[in-house]
Amino acid sequence: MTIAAQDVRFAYGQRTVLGNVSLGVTGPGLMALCGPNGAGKSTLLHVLAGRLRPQAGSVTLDGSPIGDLKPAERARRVAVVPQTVGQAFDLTVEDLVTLGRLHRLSVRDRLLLRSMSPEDEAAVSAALQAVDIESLRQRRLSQLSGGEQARAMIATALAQQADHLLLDEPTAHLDPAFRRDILEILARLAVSGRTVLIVLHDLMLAGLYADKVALLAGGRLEATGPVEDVLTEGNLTSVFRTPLRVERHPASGRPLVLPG
Amino acid sequence: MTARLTGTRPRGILLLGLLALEMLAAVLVGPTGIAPGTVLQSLAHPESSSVVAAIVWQVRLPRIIGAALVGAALGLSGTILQALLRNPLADPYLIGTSAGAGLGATVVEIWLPQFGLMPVGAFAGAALAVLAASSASRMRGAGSVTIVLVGYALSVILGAVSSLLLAFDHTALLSVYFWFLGGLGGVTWGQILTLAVVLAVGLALGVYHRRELDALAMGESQAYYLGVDVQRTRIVLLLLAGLTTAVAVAASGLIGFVGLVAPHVARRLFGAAHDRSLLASAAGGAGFLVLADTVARSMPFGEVPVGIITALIGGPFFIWLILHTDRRHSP
Repeated sequence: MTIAAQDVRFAYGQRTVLGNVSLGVTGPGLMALCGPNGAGKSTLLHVLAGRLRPQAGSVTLDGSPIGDLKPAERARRVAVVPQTVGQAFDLTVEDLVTLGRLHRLSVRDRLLLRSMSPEDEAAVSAALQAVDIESLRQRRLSQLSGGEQARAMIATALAQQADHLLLDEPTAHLDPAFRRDILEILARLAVSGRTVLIVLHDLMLAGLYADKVALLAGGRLEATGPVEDVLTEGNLTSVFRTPLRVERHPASGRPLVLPG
Repeated sequence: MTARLTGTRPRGILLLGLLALEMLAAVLVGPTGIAPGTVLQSLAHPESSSVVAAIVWQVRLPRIIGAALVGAALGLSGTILQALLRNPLADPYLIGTSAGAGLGATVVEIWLPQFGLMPVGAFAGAALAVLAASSASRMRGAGSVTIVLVGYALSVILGAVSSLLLAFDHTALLSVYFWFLGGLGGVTWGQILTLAVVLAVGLALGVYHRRELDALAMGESQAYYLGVDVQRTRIVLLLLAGLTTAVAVAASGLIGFVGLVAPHVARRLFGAAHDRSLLASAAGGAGFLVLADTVARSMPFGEVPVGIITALIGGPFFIWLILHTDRRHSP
């Protein structure tokens, strides 16, 4: 269960966003991808997920180039939660989460206007349950709060039943309580065997929930490894160019990042 | 799942029932003022050689069935375009697809009139126009209204080129000009067969890709991550929208707003997911155009082109939509 980027370089036109990044995301576990604004975190996530093709270097999923996988096969193994819900039309939560099963839709189901097999139904229910929004099943997305929308997007990715779950800062616009809830959910998923990579602005959450951290700055990977080794005052102060203090969380003993 | 079907199926059956009733009522309406009973009788006896049978079977029925099929084709095309362009304001007429079909058909009428290739020309024109509009929609920062404005400009340009070509060819001008205005009076049983076959293929392909339509409506990245083969699916569905528009245009000229109104009504009644709204939109388009055509041919001062009626209903709706399209809809 490894997504590995090897010497990846990515540029939008003339603007280089990633320069020679090598990163292995190996699970199970929760890895946080942190760094200042414009560090290239989202770009790296979309490169790892195969959506953006790097100009140099390679991205492999368990050894095979991710770009060579068939779309359905890729979706079966890697699920991605985007930053925002990009809905043009107002689907219900159930319709949205059922889209997580799209890659498994058989020709028979397609022609018979049958949307879900019993397995699909089970996967959708399990996904809704995992993020605790079963009661919102028939609600329309426009009727949900930001936190509920984020949960619905995560449920969609969970319904894909992929081993790898990549999230592009799904908590960015949420209240602290919602952010913690989402991280709790992701930590549980990691414990249950998934490989989770999350782009995270909030260093405190990264310290409290991540098993591993990758620190990105200016399109380069500055540090990667277990959370205690990466979230150090030296690393953080140099990457974020502002004094940051690292204490121990009184209860869990995990790193607690605070303004210096 | 079962809960959903019990909610949707009766409404679907009700919609089809209403459409059938509407078509039946439309057969009873006409300038010759034949008694309803006589019309119904001749419906049961297609072999009769009476004048009434001729009116019913050669004038009214092809026209009404043609209206239903053209309306369904436009409703289907509108649904696909709204999803692919991620734009609730899209309509084959408003974004230039119909004008592309019109130009393609005009070119064939002028240079190759003898081979019955007009639908092929219409399809080529519609396909190019729809691909052009979709490229515009993929440009960074293009909001819903921008896309429609670009599509409208495309429509005007293609229409101008058609007019220019016709200005040099007076024989074609006569045949093409009236067809351009839009009307279902000339629909033949042969065209009905073509429309029915294309519509059946179109509905099957649309149903086959209904989940991809949901996914693509959320954006290409999202669709990609859900396992959609984005490039292939986009092209297939855009060509399908072009094809259904082209057969509609070839049969009845340029009729606007059916493809705009039908998907909105369908989504309102059946929800946004395409496993329900796609078929409902086709049925709704059929119902809308049969109604508009019946109104168009029942005017006290004589028949008016049906496009006038659809524009009078659809135009204000379009303005209302522009003013109420929430910023969230802008990709």
